[in-house]
Amino acid sequence: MKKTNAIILILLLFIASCHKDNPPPEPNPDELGKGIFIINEGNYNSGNASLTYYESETKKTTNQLFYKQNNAPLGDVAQSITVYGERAYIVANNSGLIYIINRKTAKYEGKITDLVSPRHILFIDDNKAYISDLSSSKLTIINPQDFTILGKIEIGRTSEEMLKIGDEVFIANWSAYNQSKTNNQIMIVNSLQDILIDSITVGIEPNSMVIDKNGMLWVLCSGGFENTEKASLWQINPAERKVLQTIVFPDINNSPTALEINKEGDRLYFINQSVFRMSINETQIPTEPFIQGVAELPYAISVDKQNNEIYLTDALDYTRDGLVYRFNPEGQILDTISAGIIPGSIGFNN
Amino acid sequence: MKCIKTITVFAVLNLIFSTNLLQAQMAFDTLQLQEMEIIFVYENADVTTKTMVFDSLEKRNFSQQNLAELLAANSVVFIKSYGSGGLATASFRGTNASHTQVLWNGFQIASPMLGQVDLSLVPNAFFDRAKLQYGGSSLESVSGALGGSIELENTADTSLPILDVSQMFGSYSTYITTAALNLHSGNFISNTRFDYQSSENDFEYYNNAILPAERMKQENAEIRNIGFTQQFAYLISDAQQISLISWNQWNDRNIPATMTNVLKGGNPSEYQHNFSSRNVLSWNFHKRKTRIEASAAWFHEELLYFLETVEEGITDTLIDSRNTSNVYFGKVKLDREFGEGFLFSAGLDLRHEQVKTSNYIEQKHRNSTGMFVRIEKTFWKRLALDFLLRQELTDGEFLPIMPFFAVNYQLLPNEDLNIRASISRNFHLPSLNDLYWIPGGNEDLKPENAFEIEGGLNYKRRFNSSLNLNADVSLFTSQIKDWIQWKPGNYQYWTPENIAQVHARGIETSLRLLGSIKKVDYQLRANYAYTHTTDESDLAKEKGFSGQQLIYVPVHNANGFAHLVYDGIYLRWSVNYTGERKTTMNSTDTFPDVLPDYWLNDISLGKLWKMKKIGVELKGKANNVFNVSYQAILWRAMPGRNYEISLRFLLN
Repeated sequence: MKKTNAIILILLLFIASCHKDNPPPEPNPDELGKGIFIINEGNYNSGNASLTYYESETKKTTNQLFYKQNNAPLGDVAQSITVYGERAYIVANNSGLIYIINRKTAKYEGKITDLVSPRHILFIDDNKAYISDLSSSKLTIINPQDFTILGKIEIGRTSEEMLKIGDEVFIANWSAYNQSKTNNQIMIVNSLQDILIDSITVGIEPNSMVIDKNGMLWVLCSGGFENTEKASLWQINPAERKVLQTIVFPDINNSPTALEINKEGDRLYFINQSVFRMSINETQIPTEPFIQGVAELPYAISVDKQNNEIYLTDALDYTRDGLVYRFNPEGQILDTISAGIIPGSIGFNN
Repeated sequence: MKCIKTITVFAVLNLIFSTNLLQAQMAFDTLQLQEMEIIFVYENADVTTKTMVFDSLEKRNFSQQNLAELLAANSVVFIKSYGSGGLATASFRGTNASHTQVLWNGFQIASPMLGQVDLSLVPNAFFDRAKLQYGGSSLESVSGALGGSIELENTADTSLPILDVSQMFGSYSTYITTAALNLHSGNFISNTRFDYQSSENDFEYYNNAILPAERMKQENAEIRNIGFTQQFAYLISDAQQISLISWNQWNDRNIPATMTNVLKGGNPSEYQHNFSSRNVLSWNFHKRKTRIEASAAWFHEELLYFLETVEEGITDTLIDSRNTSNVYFGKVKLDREFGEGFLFSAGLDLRHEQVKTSNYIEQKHRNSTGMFVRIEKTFWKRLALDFLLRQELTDGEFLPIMPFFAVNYQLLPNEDLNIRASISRNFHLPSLNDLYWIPGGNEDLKPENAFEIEGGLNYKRRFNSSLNLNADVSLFTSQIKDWIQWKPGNYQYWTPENIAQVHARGIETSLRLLGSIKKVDYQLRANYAYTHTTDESDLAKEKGFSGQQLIYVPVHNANGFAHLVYDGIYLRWSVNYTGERKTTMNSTDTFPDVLPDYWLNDISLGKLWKMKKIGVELKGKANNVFNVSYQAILWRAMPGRNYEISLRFLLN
């Protein structure tokens, strides 16, 4: 009989079962103070992108803000954030969508889906924006108010960063992914007619662009996968679509990224293992870095256009939560922010 | 009838609970277990290390499923599964999937490119016996099993039914057909197995990875696998047997998007085609105290992987990856018994790997030669010593010698209570992808280097016909240096490096009870494992993540199984518990850095009708009975409660 009891007891142990769902996150009730959104890309196909918020005055950091406010992940490979009006638009590249959040609460307001491989969003005006795409030869036109897709613009190449100068949009053909043509063009689209009108040849792999105080366009080209050619920095007169100068990087192994400019529009910043800074009047790549030895894997930089403070993201080993360093305009460190996996794009919420 | 059954039960009991196990003896005998209901063998034939054998019962309960499902439900080997029909890999004791060697009739089935096996593509119908070998004793067959090895065998057994056909119908349009034809005439044996599986896998789930969350159906998850094995064996004489076995299989699999990516445009489709042909020719000789085995094998594998999108009717192929590998093996092994309890073994094995892929610059080859000697000796029928040395040569370079030493001692003269301990050193070669993948492959990688210690206690007792017990506890610790990890390199692509130094340690316990009370035969089994596995490299210490559990290794893992039989009617209940797993190397312990634990319950009820030469079995099974919503891997959808029904026909 005792044995039978023992068996029954063991049977009961088998039946023991418990059900535990993901614990609902605690919402963040306060409105976000002045600060920055940090987009953490996460790992490809892992769905572990996240949003960090850093209040620049109180130095308060909130990680997993999107999940806390909306009880859903940000998606797979969050590429960029653009703050516009009362909202922020976050592009989740491998999820093929854009989440629109309220910039004061980070609460979900809507989404734009059915995108192939979206990278960046550029506002033409309040009612029209373009979305670039890593694997499609078309830009997507959307209405950023009601989140509908208005149409497509065939540009014949994949697209990355975009800049609007007057009525013209300059689009970098960064990636050779899914195209047979060499990836060395800046495509120009007329934003009134939504058509491709021209293109300018630059170096291979144009990855980032800025406009200086004189209205000149600067394009940074990393030289291609495994460095097909030397990296280069191009100065272009956008109105005349004419290359003014090409500054070539000295070493074939240089693979610079993340071109940025200060508030005055007269100083350029970029990452070439370390952070470099140069005047728009220089004709050579500086030999000495501006900020060195802080980040393990410098990934992206953003300059606050209100005070010229510099934020440098550090992706570490791509698998652990990365860091963001905040510097004053002179390059002295002000704070170290603990973010998420592969922090990259930063959106200023001033 | 009843008499036969009783005899069989006793035969099995003797195997499981025999008190005379402590003899280094040659396991020549084929297990002649003909009875249908009670066949469950857990043996500690290798008394010096932990070993687990799945024979008919567990196998039959999962006869239509794959090896991943069999192991997940019955062992504490951790199965990392991307969902039903999707990639599933096994890892032992906190190591990597690449540290698990899977052998089929003595040879590694891992693709030389990946160095790991997708267990979802190994149908249980295609082998008769699965043996889990923990720790260093696998060095007799193969190096590189830093956690353990899974040895699958086909026995050319004349006791199998002539015809064994089954058809399963399951939820989500799942159909599985298996058939076996076992013929023998004189000294000639032919065994044929056939397996066909197809599933739409379009289960409904609650997608809370998108906003707003909604119930949706899994899409692009269809699978279709078809395959057969053919074995011919010929008994040349009482002492010699020659055997040829061929396993051929075609798999088509669509790969569903993660839950976060279901709203993506361009109608993306990701899919994979596999073809594999594995062929083994072997010759066995055994006479009195000598056994010689010589075998040769050719394993061919093709893996095609595609990622496509469609825009305005035009298909863009984003990834088109075609990979072919051929591996040629040769092996000779000698066993010789010198008096009772004294066994000597030695062997030589050769392996030539060849890979042709668009992902390497050129076709790559690798040659390996291995040899071992092993001495097993029992003293005073209570103390067993086991000593093995393995040496390997790869592309002209010797790996350091890999030794294994183990001891087992029967603590009390009249009780089957044994204490065991073993120590071993093992090396694992980088996979060819680690070395040559473009971009990122690193030809300077060193082999991973493991040092392992295991200790255990085993107690078996047959109280009476209604209660038999087998309890086992193991402790293990292993240090793996030069553990390969992919990390970001130049140009922002990943490259593998020997960076981590992993310390894996833990406890495994198991308890088995079986017997017969009145007319009910029962078996109960429970396994539990505690695994703590961390990176203790200088880098990890400097960066502050040493001491943190590695990703996707549960600290707690357990399962249980109950089996009751009454008059041909059986009830089987299996419970599986998977503890919390980290998904990143971050120190935060909240979702999604940590995935919650979950319990899964499967219940089956069936009846076997036996006539003279014919048997018919009807079985119904409910999987995930409590409809638990869970994620094995972050944002991979898993099915809720689902059902299957199967009908089987046997001709003896």
